[in-house]
Amino acid sequence: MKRISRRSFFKAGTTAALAGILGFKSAPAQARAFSGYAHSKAVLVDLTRCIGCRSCEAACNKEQGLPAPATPFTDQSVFADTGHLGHRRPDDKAYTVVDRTDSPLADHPLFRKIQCNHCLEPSCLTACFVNAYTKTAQGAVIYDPSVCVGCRTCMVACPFSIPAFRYDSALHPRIMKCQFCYETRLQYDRPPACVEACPRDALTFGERESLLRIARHRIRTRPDEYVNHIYGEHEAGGTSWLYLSPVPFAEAGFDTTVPTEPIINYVKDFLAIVPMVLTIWPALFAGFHLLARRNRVHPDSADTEISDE
Amino acid sequence: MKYFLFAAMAISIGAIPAGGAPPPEDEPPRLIVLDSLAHFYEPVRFDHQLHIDYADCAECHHHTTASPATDPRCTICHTTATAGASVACRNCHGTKRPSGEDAAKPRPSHRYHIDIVSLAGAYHINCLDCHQAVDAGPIECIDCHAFTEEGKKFFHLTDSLLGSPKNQGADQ
Repeated sequence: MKRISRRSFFKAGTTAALAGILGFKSAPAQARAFSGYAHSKAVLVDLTRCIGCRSCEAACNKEQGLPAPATPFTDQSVFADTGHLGHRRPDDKAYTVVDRTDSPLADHPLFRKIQCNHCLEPSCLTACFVNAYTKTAQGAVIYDPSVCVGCRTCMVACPFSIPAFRYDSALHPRIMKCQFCYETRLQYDRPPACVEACPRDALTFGERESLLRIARHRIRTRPDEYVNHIYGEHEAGGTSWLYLSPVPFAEAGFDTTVPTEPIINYVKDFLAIVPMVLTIWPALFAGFHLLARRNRVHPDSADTEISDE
Repeated sequence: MKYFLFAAMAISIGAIPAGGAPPPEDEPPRLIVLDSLAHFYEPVRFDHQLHIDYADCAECHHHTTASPATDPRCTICHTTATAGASVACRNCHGTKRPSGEDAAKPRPSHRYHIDIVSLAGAYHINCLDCHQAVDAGPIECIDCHAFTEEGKKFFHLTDSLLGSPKNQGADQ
């Protein structure tokens, strides 16, 4: 039987390891070009039109069968009662909330509707190790509670702090977040309930590409009423909810530190080598170990020590 | 049944002149009841005569009343004032919500008008923005239209909360 020399073993091992690294690296490089499903749906939110009537909140509550609110949806005092965060945010009892910002740059309060932005490359989805999240071809990021183990990694991963956890249910704990009305509406190409409830057309539903055209049209025809920026066109790699604002977005309460790269891009390179480390490295280093020790007898052995030198 | 049909017709027409005998054909209506969208709210009684005294026709009706358009964005194309087939808001602003499809239509008239608001949008944007700009006229939701029973249910309003000071005079 032909014996493998130490040199040929290292040669083969190094070649295999390099092939592994290069092979794994080429896959994410291709996936980086993903810019959303063709003809996927989106919603354009126009802050110049929103007056904080909270009809969208009421519609969402009814459509999703969420618990009754503490005060009626006509109650405007909720805008002042923002808690320690300083702004309102969706929770396990409300998939969407309207938040008020008093910017010195605007002569009236600004209202922005907050809900899941349905990223084109959702970080909640990539963070989930049981695949509870799905980005549907229509654009919704939906969640399947039946497989969720409640690790809440998605809550940490989301750049917009959207997924909320239903802590107060011991028997049915689960993530609660906007589903884009996928089950009842979006999969039939119907707009979500909040859009249909808006009295001032501050919310427009349609294909993402068309809404970007409409958004640019509004900026172009009314340059003095909008800042030249569509929030969500590039933020977090692009989102299915897009925003127009009369003041710079940071002034309107938006997080403008969200990177334009999809969050997953920051960890793709690392995640790509994890399978290799877990599969190739044990075999490789076990081989090195065995090769190095192949003729040595365990010191505790009672046998006489044999040297082949 | 007769009354039901009449009511259905009135709703489908959308705006019926009310308040005494209807004015002659060429005269603007004095009072318009806006009820085509009444669902969560009662119909709105819109005093058209009052607004004629305050504003030019074109400010609300664009170029459809044959008075020249005032908005510089309109006058780029609408150089001459041509009367529309109908001056009613609902003639151009449909009850259907605007959608991205409007931007994708290849018709020449949609090169610019890719973003026409719905009837509800037209009412609420036009009325509210003007009322805020001139600091007059109703601004709160229930200043114009009272809630229907369905509307109260929708907003989780109980009778005790509806009239409470907490919900009055809230800033918009």
